[in-house]
Amino acid sequence: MNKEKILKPKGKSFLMGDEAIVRGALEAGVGFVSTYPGTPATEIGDTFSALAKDAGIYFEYSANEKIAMEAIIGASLCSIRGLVAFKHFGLNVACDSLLPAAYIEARAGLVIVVSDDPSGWSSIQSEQDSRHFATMANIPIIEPADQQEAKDLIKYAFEISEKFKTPVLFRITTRVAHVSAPVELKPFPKPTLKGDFQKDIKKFNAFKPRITEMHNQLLQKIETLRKEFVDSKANFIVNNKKNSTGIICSGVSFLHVMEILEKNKLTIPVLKLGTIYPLPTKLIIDFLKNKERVLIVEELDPFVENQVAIIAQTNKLQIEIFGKNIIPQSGELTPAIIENAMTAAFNIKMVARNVTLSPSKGDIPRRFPVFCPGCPHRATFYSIKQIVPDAIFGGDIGCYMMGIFPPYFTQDFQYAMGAGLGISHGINKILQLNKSDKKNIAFVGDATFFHAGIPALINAIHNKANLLLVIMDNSITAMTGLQPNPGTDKTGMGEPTSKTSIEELVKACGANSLEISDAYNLKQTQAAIKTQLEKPGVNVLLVRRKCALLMLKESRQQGIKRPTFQVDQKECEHCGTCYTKFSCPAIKHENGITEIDQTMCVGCGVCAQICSAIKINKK
Amino acid sequence: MFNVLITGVGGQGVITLAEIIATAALLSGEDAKMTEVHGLAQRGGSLQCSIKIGKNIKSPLVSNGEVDLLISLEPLEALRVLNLLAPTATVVFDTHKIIPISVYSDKTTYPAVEEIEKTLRAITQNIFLTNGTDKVQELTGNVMALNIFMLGFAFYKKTLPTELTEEILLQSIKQTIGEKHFETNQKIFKAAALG
Ligand SMILES: Cc1ncc(C[n+]2csc(CCOP(=O)(O)OP(=O)(O)O)c2C)c(N)n1
Repeated sequence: MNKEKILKPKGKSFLMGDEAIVRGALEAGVGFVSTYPGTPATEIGDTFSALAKDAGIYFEYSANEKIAMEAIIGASLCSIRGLVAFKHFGLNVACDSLLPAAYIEARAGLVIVVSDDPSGWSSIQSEQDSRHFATMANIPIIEPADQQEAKDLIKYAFEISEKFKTPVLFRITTRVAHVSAPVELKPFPKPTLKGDFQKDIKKFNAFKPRITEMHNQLLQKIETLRKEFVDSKANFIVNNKKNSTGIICSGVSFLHVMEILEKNKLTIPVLKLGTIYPLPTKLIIDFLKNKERVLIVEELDPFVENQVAIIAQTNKLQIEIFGKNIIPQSGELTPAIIENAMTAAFNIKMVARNVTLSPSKGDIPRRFPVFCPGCPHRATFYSIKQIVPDAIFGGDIGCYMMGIFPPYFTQDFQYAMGAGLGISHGINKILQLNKSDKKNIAFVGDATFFHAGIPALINAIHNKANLLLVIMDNSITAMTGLQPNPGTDKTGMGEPTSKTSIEELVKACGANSLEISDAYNLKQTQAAIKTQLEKPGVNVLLVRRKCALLMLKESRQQGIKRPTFQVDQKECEHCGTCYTKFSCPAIKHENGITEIDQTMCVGCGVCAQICSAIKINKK
Repeated sequence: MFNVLITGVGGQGVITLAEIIATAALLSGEDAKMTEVHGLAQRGGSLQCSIKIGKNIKSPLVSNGEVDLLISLEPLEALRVLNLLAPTATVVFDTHKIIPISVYSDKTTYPAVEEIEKTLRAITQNIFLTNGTDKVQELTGNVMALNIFMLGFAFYKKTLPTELTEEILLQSIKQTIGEKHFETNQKIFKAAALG
């Protein structure tokens, strides 16, 4: 990571939206940052992790998002500016602590960055629109459209947070978080971590009867913010003139709209909103007045649209509102989609787009994500399939989720982090009640176990499930890009810390038994699976082997050359086990020959345990 | 506006290559916007990353039919984005196949490189191919710098905007990847002049 481009005192840097947020937070004088990795917000945490020491701030990867949220609430109670960042699902986890944080006045700026992921580029669980949390929590939302705004509006979010003593939701989407563009920088102050907790028991509790009183204050605050946002620099009008049509948009949609208008030399007025909850009513009324048709362009749900419709109706404005009736509510928006909507709403002709060939999808082999060469998860799933190919496999969220793909099929369902065990437990209770002898196996990674797996394990044990939990411990948070977790010996600031022992935890939870194996050792793992499946109650198999990406990174740093393996063509019997059942991407079969791609093999040697024709390359 | 698309397989250095091109564009006095789609695709999946170069860039997305230059680090990945290519597009790709494991379960066939080239010719005649993977492996003992080789190849075949001079590209490589590996990277970039 190039820290320099974010830490330089002034000038211009080419920054990704996530990095621009980091810079903006530094310019705002943030002191305390916590996060839980999750793409498209991952790079916010990773960037802070890389530069926290240089910048003189505190940073941590928390064990999960709720705890990350709580950590910055604690910091703000000590009058330190805090920022927390996570992906949309993270806000679901953090939500329970967020709501009271709106009731109890923040003592210092408290900004929550949440990144939604329309089209699910990096998310498989749902296409949620996190803006709804703000209406539930009664907190304002600020949303940037590009990287410059991401940086500038973070500062504004801190200002609003401190002026109104409220948490602020800073909402981005993939095409803000993961777009890089030149960003103009401003100097940033020396951060301060000088703070203390001053007791104020009445203020920091919402105990009855305070709860309704505080709720009322909160509702009033939202009304004040509604007025404040009328003059906010986050909102502005382009092509401000008298016109019968208009467009209201927020986020990256604004950029798509502007591209279309410029390309087609159109001058339709555009109200660009950066404060999207509560909507500045007066600004909206002024924009709607004298217009006949307005198109609202936003990704996912009709969040702005519904608010605008209410404003139009309560103010008896006769205006036709277009939005989700002609723009999809699912998937990312593109200029082409918006162009079609504009044509439909305003009846205008646009410059024709290039006609192109569409690739005939059926003919092109799919390339889904795979376990890397040397990935211990592949070896574990291979072992499982050898012993119990038909068990009910509770899936979870991590690199092992690629077990949904052929040839493994070892993730029968996937819901949310830690849910694999919880749901397997529910299934198992039904199986027990029906005297079924089907086997239940739940998988969980080390990070996910720490994040949300422990209560599920305690629950399964307490409520007498019969199942096998396989903890796939690759000793890192791999899926999101190798972040530390409570099982690793370094913090997010690179300081040494004690590792939390998974085996001690499992024992303390009261599991019936625990076996430990090395994922690379197929015999040992398969024997352990067999043993564990025969026992009643909740049994655990801890399969441990370092993530191959991490192993390679460390080998490179230490200058260690990894061996490679190759197929002895004289001995190969062309059975296909290595490429159809084990399926390492380094093993390829073409024109009747099976070979190991020497540029891809990382020398884990697991395939050599499957077939005696595979041997170490002595060259 | 000049739109570049880099495609390849997760782990090949697609994003770094896009960053180098975007940074070079800025060094040459242009603006640039780049967007990538990674995350799940990082694990050996298909990966695409676009760079818009020009002034007053609004939307970061490149639409169908708008790509002026496609650099694909893997042959099959060039085929996947035909719809994005402009009729005047140039395509540069590496011929080393990375066979996706799906061909064994789906019983599909990885097309021959000649087939891929033929399909691309239906859109454009400006096609340049090379076996960069083998050359980089020969030069450095691994394939990590394939992206740099392909950048050099695209440059020496004059497929990049003329503002992106050799000097600017090398400076961008240094700035993006760092001083440490610069010697090697420069060697690889220049080796691509021979195709
Ligand atoms: C609530 C929530 N937070 C974050 C994420 C993003 N995420 C996906 S996988 C993963 C980590 C998985 O780590 P681990 O369980 O150790 O498995 P590994 O990838 O290392 O195999 C995270 C944080 C998410 N999907 N949901």
